[in-house]
Amino acid sequence: MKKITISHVTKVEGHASLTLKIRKDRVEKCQLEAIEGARFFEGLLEGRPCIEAHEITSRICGICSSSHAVCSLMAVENALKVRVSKQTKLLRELLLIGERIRSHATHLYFFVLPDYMGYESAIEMASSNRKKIDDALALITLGNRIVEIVGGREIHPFTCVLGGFTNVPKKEEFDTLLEQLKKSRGVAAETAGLFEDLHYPEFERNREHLCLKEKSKYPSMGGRIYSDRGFNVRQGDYHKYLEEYIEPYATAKFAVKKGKEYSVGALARMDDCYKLLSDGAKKLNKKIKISSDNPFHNNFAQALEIMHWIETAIGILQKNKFKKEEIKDIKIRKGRGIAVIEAPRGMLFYDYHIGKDGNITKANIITPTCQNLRSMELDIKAYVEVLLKEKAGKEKLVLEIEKLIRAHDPCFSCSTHFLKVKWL
Amino acid sequence: MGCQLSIMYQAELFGILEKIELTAFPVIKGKNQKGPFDIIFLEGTIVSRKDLKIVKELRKKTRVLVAIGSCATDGCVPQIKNFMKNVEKSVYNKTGHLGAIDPVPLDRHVKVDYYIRGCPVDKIEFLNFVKDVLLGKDFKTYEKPVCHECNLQENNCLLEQGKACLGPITFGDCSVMCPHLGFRCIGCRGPYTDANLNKFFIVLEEVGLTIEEAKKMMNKFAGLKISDMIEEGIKQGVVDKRYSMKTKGQ
Repeated sequence: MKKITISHVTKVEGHASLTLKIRKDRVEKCQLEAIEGARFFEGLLEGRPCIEAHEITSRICGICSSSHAVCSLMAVENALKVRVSKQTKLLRELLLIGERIRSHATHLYFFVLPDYMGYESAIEMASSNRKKIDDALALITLGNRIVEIVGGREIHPFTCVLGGFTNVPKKEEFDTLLEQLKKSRGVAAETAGLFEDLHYPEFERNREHLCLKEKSKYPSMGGRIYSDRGFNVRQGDYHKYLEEYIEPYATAKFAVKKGKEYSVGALARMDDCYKLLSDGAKKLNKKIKISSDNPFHNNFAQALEIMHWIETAIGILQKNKFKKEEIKDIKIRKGRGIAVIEAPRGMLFYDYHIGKDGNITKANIITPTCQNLRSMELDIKAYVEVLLKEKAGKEKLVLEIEKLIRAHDPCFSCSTHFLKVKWL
Repeated sequence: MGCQLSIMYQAELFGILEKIELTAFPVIKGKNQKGPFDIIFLEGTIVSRKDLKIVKELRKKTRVLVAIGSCATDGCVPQIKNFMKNVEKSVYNKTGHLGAIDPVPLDRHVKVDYYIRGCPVDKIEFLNFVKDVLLGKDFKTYEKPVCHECNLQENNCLLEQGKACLGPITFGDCSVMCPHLGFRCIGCRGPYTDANLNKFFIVLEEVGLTIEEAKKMMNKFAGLKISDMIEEGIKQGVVDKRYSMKTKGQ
């Protein structure tokens, strides 16, 4: 019996460890553990005014703070039956787009690329490959700029409130942003080229991919929960199919669909909705056939999405005029509100119960990483067995496992504070 | 998790890194040394017994400890748990394996030499700190409340418009970004040292908040530190007892 432990997986968001027990060529135990302490976010929301819930939940994670803020606002609005304007929806879409560009670019250049280029870190990579870091920073700065213009600052946007925005950017700000977006297509194209040419391991494991699906739009904020295996349900019915459970070794929760694992994220969105990508993004896929069963291809899917979101933002800014607008009146009432959006790493669920005093009585949040954890464990197990058959040494084994974990783009800080609700 | 990564989002930092030996940074680096260190920048709140042990060990290994972001300086949103009962049970069925303790900022358990405030931390402020270290200057934190700069910007006062803004009791140096765009200050940089908390409660009551609502507003980012200030004020007879904001343990 061999035991392999990676006590601190580096170059991922949050803290995680992995324990493997191996007998001959079989992995007998595979435990991926978020070692981050639990912060009990859902519990903290109980008894707090629903109007400020998003101010608390955006603090679950700075990297995805726009997604948490927007999804929380939508869930409260659904409970209070507030209908926001088309402009508010577009501004929220822009917030999410900025965040997705920033998140993907950070993940690809800072976490993934050093492994493939043979550097221990992006900082080491910067000393001999400065252009790569400049490209990364150009895309990250673009994403940051979108969130800052629309939301007031780069991380934890604050102008987005219940019923609208406290500030609508001026025309000149959007004009400059539009120019910056157009210019960034070059870097986005180079990024896609770079990540199409990486030598991804040829590893496949069959899986189900879930994402939001709308008729004419790539997954973002609306639509039904969908998979190409015939799963197709209303957002509000998620709790009839998806459940969370805890493992005694972890502070994170694991989400499964009717007891079986599934995956979410860029590769899932692309698997289910490739046709809806922008034309410019589709054109960048020249050489490899994206395999939805190869988790390493998630990296290339993210690179294509960067171009897709840049072109989507260009479209939004070209087709719309933004003006000052009153924030919708909020009437407090008792109710339950559910909202689902696509965060950079996949579907994010918010489910609030609100009492007649406007305070939250119960909250359930399911993050993308919770949904991917089970798949990640099964991937690691299957991939390690492939590597063992190829007689891989321990050093190679550890590097490859880390590459696989990073390919999923987990955020362990987000995965660790989720309410145990036994639905079904 | 935002603070650590956001400080990397600036081209200038990569130039400065050449002048520094960055020996450990697990979110970015694959190879990390175990110390001792000259300076440690620490992000996050202490939420478990394990965290506490790690923080104490790190303190022993470093000459200078810098708390970055609201979590490390004030406990941020997780510290709300100190003012609530039964939070753990409502999130997890079983909680024994978590080793959870009520979240506290770093300075409850170890000496903190410098604070870089805010949620998130201001990346330029971080850069300025590093530059000051390289120049051998002592980093000075801004010692005025948000209102000071807000007045200079000639923004319309949100409190005067009846909105519950925490500007008067919160450390400034944030470019007043929130009030400037019509959003009330929610106190993410922690309580201003000389804040008149008794008067501020009266102001919040005047804009229509109940005392309970006012306390909830004030315990969101730095409740523990504000609570300490209030209890001290009550002891000295300068804060009304009705405003007592004790933690569940007190």
